Amino acid sequence: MSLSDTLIRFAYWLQASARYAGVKRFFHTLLTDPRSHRRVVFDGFMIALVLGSVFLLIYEVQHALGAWADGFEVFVVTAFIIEYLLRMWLYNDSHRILIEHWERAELVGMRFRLLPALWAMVKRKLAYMATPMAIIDLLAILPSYRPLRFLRIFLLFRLLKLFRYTRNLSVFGQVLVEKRFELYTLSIFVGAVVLIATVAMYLFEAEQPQPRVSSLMDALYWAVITITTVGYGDIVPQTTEGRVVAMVLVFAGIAVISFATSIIVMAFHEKMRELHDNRVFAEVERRDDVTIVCGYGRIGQVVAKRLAAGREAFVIVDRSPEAVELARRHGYQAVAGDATENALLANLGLGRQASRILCLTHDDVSNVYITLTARQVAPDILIISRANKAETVRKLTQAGANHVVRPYEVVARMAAEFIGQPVAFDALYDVVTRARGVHLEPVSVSPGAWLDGRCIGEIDFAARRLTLFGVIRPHASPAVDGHARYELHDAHFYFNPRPEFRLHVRDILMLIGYEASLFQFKERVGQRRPSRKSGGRHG
Amino acid sequence: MKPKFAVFGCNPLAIEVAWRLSLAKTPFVMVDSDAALVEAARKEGLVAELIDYTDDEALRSVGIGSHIEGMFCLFSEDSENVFLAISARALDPRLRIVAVCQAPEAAPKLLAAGADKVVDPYEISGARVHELIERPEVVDLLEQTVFGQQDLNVAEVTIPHRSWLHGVHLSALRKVMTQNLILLGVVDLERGKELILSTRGIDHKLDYDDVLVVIGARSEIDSFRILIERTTPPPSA
Repeated sequence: MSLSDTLIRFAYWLQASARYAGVKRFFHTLLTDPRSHRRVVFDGFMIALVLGSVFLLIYEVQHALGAWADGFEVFVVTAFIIEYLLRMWLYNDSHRILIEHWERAELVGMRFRLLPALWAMVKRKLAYMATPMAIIDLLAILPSYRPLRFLRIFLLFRLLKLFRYTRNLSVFGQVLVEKRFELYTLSIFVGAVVLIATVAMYLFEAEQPQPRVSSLMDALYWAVITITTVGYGDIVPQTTEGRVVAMVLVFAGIAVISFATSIIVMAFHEKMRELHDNRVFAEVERRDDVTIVCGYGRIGQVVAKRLAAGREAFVIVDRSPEAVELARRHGYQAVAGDATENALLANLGLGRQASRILCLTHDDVSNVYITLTARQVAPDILIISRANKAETVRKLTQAGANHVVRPYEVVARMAAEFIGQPVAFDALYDVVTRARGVHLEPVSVSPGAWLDGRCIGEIDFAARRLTLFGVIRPHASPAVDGHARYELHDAHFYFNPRPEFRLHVRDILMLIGYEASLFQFKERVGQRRPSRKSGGRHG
Repeated sequence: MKPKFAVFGCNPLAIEVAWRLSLAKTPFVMVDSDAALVEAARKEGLVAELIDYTDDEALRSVGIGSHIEGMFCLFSEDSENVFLAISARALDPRLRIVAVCQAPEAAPKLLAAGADKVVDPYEISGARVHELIERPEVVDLLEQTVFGQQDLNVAEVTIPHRSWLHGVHLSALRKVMTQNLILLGVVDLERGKELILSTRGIDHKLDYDDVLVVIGARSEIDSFRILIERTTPPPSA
């Protein structure tokens, strides 16, 4: 058995070990997962460590500290080293590389060679060590090496380490990275101007009898102070030529500053939207049972308002930035984007946290497309779509919508019903929309509950200030005769059943009453919240 | 037979309303001042007339102030609907006017102009979407029974003058009801439009012109109407 055999066995063992994967996942959520709560706590702890150690190091410059300070420093450095190693470990799975190499060798029938595989593993880790953040991490460990005073400067790297723990700060870094071409151009320009000014200044001024600029370093210092428009005035040109150089340099300075400012402002402006979206995604990630509302037109607004009133988690997607702006002004989570993009839907957690999507744009074509996309991404979510034309209803159902709402139809029905019997209709409408504290609420019979097996006559609804509208019984349960019975999609509805009607598990009582009475009743039968699932999905 | 209802507007929403009315076999007349829309409605097979709604004479010719009992203001401009509601209200104070509004601000204006009911399409559709999320059972149930084609209806029964129910308590009425109906409650129009639930603690004393709201099959409702219209209490009471 050679070393390579042992290593490969070990790699396979790691691959198969659930425990190893669990430990790695734990550290992933602790250190790197941008959406975990644990990471937030961990980051806070590390920030405290960084600030504490930096404070002590600064304080130590002029004060004597006891042995505990050294102890603390050792602790901090240990924490940093462990963190550094953990991050390096989390960066990739080395055993996979080994397995990959081995399997490839097996596949083509070649002899497996250990060294290239190991080198590939090391190369990946080195790649991690070369990332800016890893370098900063490493440098942050150094200042503890007391004998070299110069290393104190690395103290600053500890502060840079803060970038790692606060997301907003790291965005600043990202902006700089993204604009590196512009900044590169700018720095070349600045470098050239400073170089010319330095040399010119030195040539003109250093020859003077009592020179203010006696060395090239003086000239460089002056040039930098001038071009940045700081202008301390400790070194000033004395010759006319020198002053001309100064005047030119001042204008160049203004140009440089404004150019740099505009680059950074522009970059932030562009980044702002993305930043905002990322925050929305992160927020959505933390919630459960999120509703995605596509389209923030009038209907979308009404739905959002109602969802907000019910304290439900939802996020708005609209193609137009103005609509998104409006939604944000209303205080809702909103993302500008096209809901037909799989990536956007995935970011919003469709099929994971997001269990519902509402397609409410005023364009039927978009609604069909969103419905279809969403259904493909997540086969078992609830999709409610808006159809403006009657023909679209069938298309939406075909595309996978669970429910289709047609505004014109809803309005027409309401208007027509109202004109026939205004009082009754208003009353019913108030009940349905729960406008006046009177609700029509479903109460389901769960196994072993008080209601299970009871007759309607045994329950004194009147004493509880409730009216039994009827009972919904799924088709799966046996049907009963002798009561007014209506046909639903997948259930029977027994309207106003007689006293001898016996309740079964999975029956749903439809009760009408004031909110408080309903609440009391539900508490009595041991169920507070209505079940949301039953009856919601078909077709 | 003269139509009892007038639909103002020939846009898609108005056509939808017209279909609803035809389904209920209610005679109605459709009008609009836009020739193209009128033509479109005619193509759908509906009877539509081209009139200028800003002219009171034209409104009278449609039947406002005479045989028209209810009208729908379904124009897509809030201002047009307000104008129409004002004109119609002036011609007939007893006319039942239903109007749609586009902007939510227009609702109080329409009510001030004389509309009895303002329907905000967006508000209602939004509410329905929300209901579908919150309580799909309820929406499904109502959709397929009360609002659907099945024989389960919500009806209002006004207590006529000389009815035996004058001065009778609601609980007494419940005792003599043999019909398979749900007596949802009563609306005392003298006191306001709010529904007094029949299960509420207070035993309401019925009065002439109170409106009873019941749910049930059509035949049961008809038999209930007969019970209400009696001048003497039924024998069992």
